[in-house]
Amino acid sequence: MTIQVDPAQLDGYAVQLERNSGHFITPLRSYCAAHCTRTDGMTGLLAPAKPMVSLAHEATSALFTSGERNLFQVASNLRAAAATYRAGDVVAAERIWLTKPRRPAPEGYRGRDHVGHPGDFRDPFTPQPAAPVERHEFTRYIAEVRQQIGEIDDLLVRYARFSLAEQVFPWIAGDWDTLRENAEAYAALAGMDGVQAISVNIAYGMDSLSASWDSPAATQFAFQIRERWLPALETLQHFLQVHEEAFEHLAQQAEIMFHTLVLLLEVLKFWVIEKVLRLTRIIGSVLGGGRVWDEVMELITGVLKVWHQIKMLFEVLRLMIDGAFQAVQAAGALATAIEETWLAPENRLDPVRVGVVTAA
Amino acid sequence: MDLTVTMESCRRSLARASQQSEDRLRPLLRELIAQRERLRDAVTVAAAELTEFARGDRAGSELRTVQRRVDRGELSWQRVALGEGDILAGLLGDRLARLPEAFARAYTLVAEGVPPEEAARQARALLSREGDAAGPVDPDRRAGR
Repeated sequence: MTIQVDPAQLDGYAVQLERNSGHFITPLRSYCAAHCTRTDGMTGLLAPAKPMVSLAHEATSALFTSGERNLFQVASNLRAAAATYRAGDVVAAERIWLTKPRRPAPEGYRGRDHVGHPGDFRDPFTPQPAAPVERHEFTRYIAEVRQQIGEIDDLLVRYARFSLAEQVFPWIAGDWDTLRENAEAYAALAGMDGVQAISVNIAYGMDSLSASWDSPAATQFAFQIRERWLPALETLQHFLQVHEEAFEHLAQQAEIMFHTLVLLLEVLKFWVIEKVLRLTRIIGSVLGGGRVWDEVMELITGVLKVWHQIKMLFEVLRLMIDGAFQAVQAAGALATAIEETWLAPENRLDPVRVGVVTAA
Repeated sequence: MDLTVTMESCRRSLARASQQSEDRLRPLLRELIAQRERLRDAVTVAAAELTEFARGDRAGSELRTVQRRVDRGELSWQRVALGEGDILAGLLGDRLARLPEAFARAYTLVAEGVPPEEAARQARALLSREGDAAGPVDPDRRAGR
């Protein structure tokens, strides 16, 4: 067995891994707690989206916690290996990475050799996701609906005993901009200022280490980093992107709903104006008696149809929220896969014992 | 676990939900845009017809007074129809006094699952039957409105 090792380099990479494990907590998990949890403005139609916000945040937060714990464990194991090599017990040091791997490197696996920057364990990137921009797009849509309703509501209340303001506002007046702020937050977490930074950093450090460590354990270690941690982080990136997409889809559908609602209200307004103008003329004419009730019937039909369509619109949005929630639930399977992929070897809480306890 | 498959299933469920909602909303949006244009024109026509009538000899004095204000640019028939200046009540008199009752009846029927057209028809029939000033249905009513 040929073993080439420079324990100082292992220590160097262990420090970098520890530092990057910390990135999972600060800034990533803290950022998510600050920007992915707002539900206070989710009222009316938006209320069913609250569980989606909570589920997305909890799952993401749990993954960041798990990422920190498991990457820290990798760093501890590496540090333990360095200490054991340094103490001259090469067999024990090797054993740390050779025993009980949950998924060992396949026969003949060789990590890439990158010797461009040996011994450089600085982080090329520091994750710093920017806070989502405060938005007021939906505030404008709500104002537009309010204006449309304001034009006809007095008339409807007086002649139809029906207030659209009362029927519609409680449903639509929530803080819809939260959806886009959530989407933006998850996009930031998925991007180069989020988990991708950790991914680039640990790949960079692995390349820096590869020239200084060559042994069967080194191969296993490289496999852990390159074939488990890096793909797991890439999946984490996709997991976060699914959340971004779920919130963005919802925001887009909500926009369509608002456009449709404004159109419906305009249609209703013109319908009411036309009927009232006709009624005014008929009532002003001695010949038009019977036609009053025909126009009235059309007026009633129009109002009822628009109300029916508004309810349908709300129902479509409710279904869309269900769909987005299902996507977030389905992302739970990705979370499980990510955890399984980066989970450290068994007995991971006591890395030195791994070598001792399982000595053949 | 195949992560690609899982990712795809997440995206599929989103795409499916979006598709379903678009399938329902797109035809409605198209119809509403067409309807808005039709109704805009219908309002113009109704306002022109009312103007013509209000300027004629058969119009009551109140109607003629409002028309003069419209002609001076102080009002528009559209604003009057929306209740501006509380002029409408004077023009309609008590002929629509039972309209809220008709609406109430229609809402009840719709809540019971009756389609809007049928609910409106029954509400109208109820009022006619109960001896309102309404006469028989005018056979000359233009179709398609």
